[in-house]
Amino acid sequence: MDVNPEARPVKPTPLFPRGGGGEGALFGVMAIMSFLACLTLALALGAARLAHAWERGLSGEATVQIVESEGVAMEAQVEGALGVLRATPGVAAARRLSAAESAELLRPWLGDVDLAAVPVPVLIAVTLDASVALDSAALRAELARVAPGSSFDDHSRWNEGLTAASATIGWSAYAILTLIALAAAASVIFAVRAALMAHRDVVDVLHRTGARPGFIAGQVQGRFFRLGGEAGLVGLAGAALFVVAIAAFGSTEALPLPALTPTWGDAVWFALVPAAAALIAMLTARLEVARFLARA
Amino acid sequence: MIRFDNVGMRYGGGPEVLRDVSFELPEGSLTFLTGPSGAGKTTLLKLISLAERATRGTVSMFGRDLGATPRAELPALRRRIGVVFQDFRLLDHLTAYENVALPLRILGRPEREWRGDVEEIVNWVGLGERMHARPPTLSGGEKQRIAIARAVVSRPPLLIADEPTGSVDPDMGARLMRLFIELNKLGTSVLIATHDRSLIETADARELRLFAGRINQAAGARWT
Ligand SMILES: Nc1ncnc2c1ncn2[C@@H]1O[C@H](COP(=O)(O)OP(=O)(O)OP(=O)(O)O)[C@@H](O)[C@H]1O
Ligand SMILES: [Mg+2]
Repeated sequence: MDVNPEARPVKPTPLFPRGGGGEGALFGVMAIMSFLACLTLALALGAARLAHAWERGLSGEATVQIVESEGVAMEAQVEGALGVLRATPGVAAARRLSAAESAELLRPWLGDVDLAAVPVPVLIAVTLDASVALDSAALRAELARVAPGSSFDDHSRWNEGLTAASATIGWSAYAILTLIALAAAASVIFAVRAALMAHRDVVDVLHRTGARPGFIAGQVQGRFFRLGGEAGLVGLAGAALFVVAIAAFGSTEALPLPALTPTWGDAVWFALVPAAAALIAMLTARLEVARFLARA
Repeated sequence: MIRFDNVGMRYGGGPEVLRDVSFELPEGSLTFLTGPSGAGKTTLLKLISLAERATRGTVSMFGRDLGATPRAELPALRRRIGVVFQDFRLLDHLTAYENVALPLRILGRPEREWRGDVEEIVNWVGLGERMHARPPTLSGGEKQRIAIARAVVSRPPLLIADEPTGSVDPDMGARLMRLFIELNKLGTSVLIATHDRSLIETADARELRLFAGRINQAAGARWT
């Protein structure tokens, strides 16, 4: 209990009174915005990682498929293709898959059929050397010459599709982040306006006592900086709990792609969310006070 | 120090509440502004305290034409003017001491430089015991004294007071008047709007009479 209500305050009382701007509601809105920003950021970082992984991993492998062809015997085609592949710069290794391996690969499509009874294509697994550029057009031409029934697939079309998809996810995520920041700024504007209206008399006395707009803004912005930062931390903690909960209680399929799971390396970026929330709140408050005083 | 030339003032699209007001207050003068309720005293003080701008005519202060002064330079001018508002305008969330210290905080000076000055003036207006009380717990007269202490604490070269003794008893009124006279002797230009004849009697000062928005020349201003 306050024994002596007229004791000197321990710290000087802030010149701009607390409350009046619906700070509780703003705190909630800013925390939710920060939570959404963290999840969106996780998506953006994951998409970038996926694109990277696909470029690395998938372009390291290619396949040559050879089917029966009029004029050239199957074995001659295979031997010719292997010869061409091994002589091509950019190809690290080329290995013919055994009938059993081919059958294993085809099982999902053909089921358990007697492979001896159907003409099965021969598959050659090609390992590419990522450090040497491969001229795939020239390689295709060479292969067609020695093995008319061959087709070369370096997964590039599949790869391009995935890279484009992850790029789309990436820029969409950044666009969403921008929208979240704008929405956060808008809610700060409403709160600052409400606070200034609620404490009009205080602003008026400060103004008439010779306070500059920058000084008055300084009294208001610090509070919003704090509020933004704290709400940002709450949102970040919420997002972290959300991810941990999914990892712990969801099935593994709940996180479809491991690359989308945040890593410790992402922590720096997530730490930027509360910082951004604090800065957005502070700068918006400052600009809004300046606008309010310019109209007064 | 202050010069009005044919000044007119209206609020929004309303009627002119000041009409053709011309006068000059020399530096270091002590002047009373009198007139019936609604005559426009507070409005005139608002023009001088840079809270409103004249709708016509010229107001010059500190040797500058206010109409031609850029907005950005007004705060610096306002700091040179101490204002006692008719309705006090204390900040309810600050203590009496903090209210008095407001102009000094706005100047950005550290508390250790002015703490003694603030305590001294609060004691002088007789509120040393209530130094850390907040305005809602003060009486009308106590609020008025805090408002006066706030207006004078930074030693502004110009002091304007709107009914500064309206809420205190005659003894306290005389005491506050002595403060104004003392400050005036030290060089402060003082302009006091009042209805209080007894207050005017205590000082030998010029009187500016306002009647329905005009300086009443016919009534004959008294000059020192
Ligand atoms: N903000 C305002 N908007 C519109 N009209 C106003 C405003 N303030 C004052 N007035 C009008 O201007 C006129 C002069 O008012 P003012 O407050 O200057 O009088 P005053 O001489 O100070 O009176 P009092 O002795 O009662 O304090 C009055 O008719 C008043 O109604
Ligand atoms: Mg008045």
